[in-house]
Amino acid sequence: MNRRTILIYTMVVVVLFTIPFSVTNTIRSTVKNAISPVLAILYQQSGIVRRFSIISANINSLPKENDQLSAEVTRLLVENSNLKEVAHENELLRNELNISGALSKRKLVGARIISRSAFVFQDIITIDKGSNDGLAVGQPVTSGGALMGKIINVGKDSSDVELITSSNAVTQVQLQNSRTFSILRGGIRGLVVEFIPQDVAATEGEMIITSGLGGEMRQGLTVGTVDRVISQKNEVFQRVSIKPAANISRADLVFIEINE
Amino acid sequence: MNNRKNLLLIFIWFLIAVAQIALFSNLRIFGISPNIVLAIFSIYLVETVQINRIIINSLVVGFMLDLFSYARLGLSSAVIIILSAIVYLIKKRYFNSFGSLALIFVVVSVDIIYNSLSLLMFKSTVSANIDHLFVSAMFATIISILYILSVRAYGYWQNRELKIKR
Repeated sequence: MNRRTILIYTMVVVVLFTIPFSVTNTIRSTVKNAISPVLAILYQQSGIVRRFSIISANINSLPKENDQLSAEVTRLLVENSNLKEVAHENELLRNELNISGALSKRKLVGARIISRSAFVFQDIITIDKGSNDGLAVGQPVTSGGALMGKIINVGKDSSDVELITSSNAVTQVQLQNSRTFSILRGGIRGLVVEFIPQDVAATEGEMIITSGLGGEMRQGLTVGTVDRVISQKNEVFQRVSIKPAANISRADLVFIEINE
Repeated sequence: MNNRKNLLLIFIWFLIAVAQIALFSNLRIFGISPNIVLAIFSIYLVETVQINRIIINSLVVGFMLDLFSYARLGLSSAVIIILSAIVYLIKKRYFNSFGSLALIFVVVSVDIIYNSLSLLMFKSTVSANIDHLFVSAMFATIISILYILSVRAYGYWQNRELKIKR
C-alpha cells in the first residue's frame, strides 16, 4: 500500500468526520425512509429470535413473575375501580363549579419499532411514523401508557427515539406522593432520579411521573417506581434508582402523544 | 471487474447491517445483542490477504455502523481501519495464515476493543457495563465457532464429492 492510498483513505475519514450532525441526521432519515418497508418486514419476522432471547433470559423466573403479575392485576383492578369513582366525583364537582375541561386534547399515534441502533450499547430505536403523521422532535413516546423516550430526529416516514435509559436522556420528573420535582437520567448506574432534597422521604414503590417542566412533555406521564435510595446521608441531595414502568427492551408497538 | 466486486461487497455489508438493526437487535441476552456486522467483518479480516481490500471494507463497514447508529460519521470507520491495520501487520509479521484458535482470538479481541472504545466515546447506557462486554465477546466467539464449523463442513462435503467422482 503506497502513501497516496493511505492519504486518500485518511482524507475520506476526515471528510466523513467533518460532516455536521444535522446533515448526518438528514442522510440517516433519507436512508431509513427508503428502506423502512424492508426494516418493518424484517423486524416483524424477528419473532423467533425475540422468543429465543425471552426464553433464555427468563425461563427460571417465569413462575415467580406469573404470581407477581397476578397479584399486581388484582391490585390494579381495585385501584382502577377507585379511580373511576374519583373521576366521576371530579366530573360532578366540575359541573357544579362550571369548570370546562382545562386539559388540552391529545391524540395518540401508534407506531411500530422497525429497528434498533447498530451500536450494541446505544438506546435509540427507529419507528415507522414521521412528520407525515404529525410527529415532531421532543414528543413523548409511550408503551403500555408509560414513558419510554422522546423523539430526537424526524424523517418523513420514520423517526428516531431516544429511550429514557440512554445516558444522554434527561427527563423532568416528579415524585408522586411528595410532589417533589427532580431530574431523571439514564446511564451506567441505571435509571436514577437526582436532586431530591434530603428531607423528602422517597419510599420504595413510590410512583415517578413526568413533571411537565420544560414544556416538552405533559405532566403526569408514568415513568416508573422507586427501587431504592442510592445516595449517602451526608450528600446534599438524595439519588434514587427507579424501575421503569414500560417494558423498554421488549416493546414492539409504541404510542406518540400529539396535541390536537 | 474489481469495481463490480467492490460494489457487490458494499451491498452485502449494507444487507448485513440492515439484518443487524432489524433482526439481530432483538436477540438480547442480558440486554445485549450480538454485533453481527463486526463479527463477520473480523472473520473477513482474518481470511483476506490484500490490504487494499481490507481497508476499503473497513471504511464501508464503519460507515454502515455509524449510519445505522447515532454516532458521528467516520468514527467507527477510523476505529475499524486502525484495528484492521493492526491485525494485518500482526498477521504479516508473525503468521502466514491464522488457525482456528487465532481466528477466534482475533474476532473476540476486535469485538472487545471496538466495544470498549465505543463505550468510552459515546458514554454508556443502562444496558452497558463491563460484564456486558463479555456477553458481547461470547456472541463473537459463538459466531466464529459457527464459521469454523461451517468451513470444515464445507471442506468435508467437497472431499466427499471428489471421492465419489473418483
